[in-house]
Amino acid sequence: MSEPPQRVPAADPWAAFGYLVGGAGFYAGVGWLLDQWLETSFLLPAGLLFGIALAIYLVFKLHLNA
Amino acid sequence: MTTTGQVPGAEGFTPPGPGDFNLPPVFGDSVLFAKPALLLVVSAVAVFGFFFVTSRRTALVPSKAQYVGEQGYGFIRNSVARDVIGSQHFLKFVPWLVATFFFILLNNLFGIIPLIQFPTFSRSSFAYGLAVLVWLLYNGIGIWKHGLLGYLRHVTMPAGITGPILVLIIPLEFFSTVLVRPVTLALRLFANMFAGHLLLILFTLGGEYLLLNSDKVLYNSVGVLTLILAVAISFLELLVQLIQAYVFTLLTAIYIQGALAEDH
Repeated sequence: MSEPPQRVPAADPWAAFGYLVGGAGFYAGVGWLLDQWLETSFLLPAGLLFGIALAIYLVFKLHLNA
Repeated sequence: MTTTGQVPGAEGFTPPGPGDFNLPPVFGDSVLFAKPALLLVVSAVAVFGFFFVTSRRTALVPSKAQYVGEQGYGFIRNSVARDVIGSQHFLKFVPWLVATFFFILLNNLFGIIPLIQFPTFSRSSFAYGLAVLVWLLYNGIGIWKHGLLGYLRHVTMPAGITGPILVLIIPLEFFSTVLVRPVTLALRLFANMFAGHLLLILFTLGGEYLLLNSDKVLYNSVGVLTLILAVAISFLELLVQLIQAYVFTLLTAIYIQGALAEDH
């Protein structure tokens, strides 16, 4: 876009927080459901960590490269 | 668990807590007539009245009130709306953003205005209500601009990410944009106002208790110091109140811009 240079951030600086909460929440939920289904107990923490890792990957990919 | 017994001389002191935010109705017995709800109505009328009067009687040599109104309006219009949303679309969102900013600002300032001294948004339900309005606004704009499916695509598929990892990203993006975003928006405003007001009543009540209910001169003088600190914290709160009103408005503009943006 041909906007003049911006003093304010163009993207939501709180997006990182949203990704972390969303990633941890969603994949922990998926892990919990799988735990219920497969009668295991390790998939909730595994999903939690996976969600956080994915969120950190997204933050780096989308916001720190831009 | 009680912490009051551990401090000598403070046995009779009841520290303030979340219960102090549940104010009784000013009159009648409906929660609609409690102080927070009344303050909300007063602020809406006051903000509307201020801008109505200052924009109605525009003079060539502006009065002080007109000057303040124009400065505030110009700041939100140029530094928030135009710079974030872009010169093409920003004009139709200026009324919303100006109203949001001054409505939140006045409600926050109620926290340190003498005799009122209650920040309305320290009651979380008001902050959530405001966030719901913003949520409806930016999602509505996105659907209007891209269509429902196009907007869902716009929201869940970030540019620059391709391949199978997209399957993992889509639910995460949906979660963070559609579900987490309004909650953090409301929580930030609410928590700042809640914590600030709690700090103020703690210093004020604690200072008053030390000053009046202790027979030791040391405690009395510490009480005076505490009350002076309460005034200092009030000035800190003034800063927080301004910043939170600004942040809420800025984020609203950023969300609108994000919903309007073309697919990258």
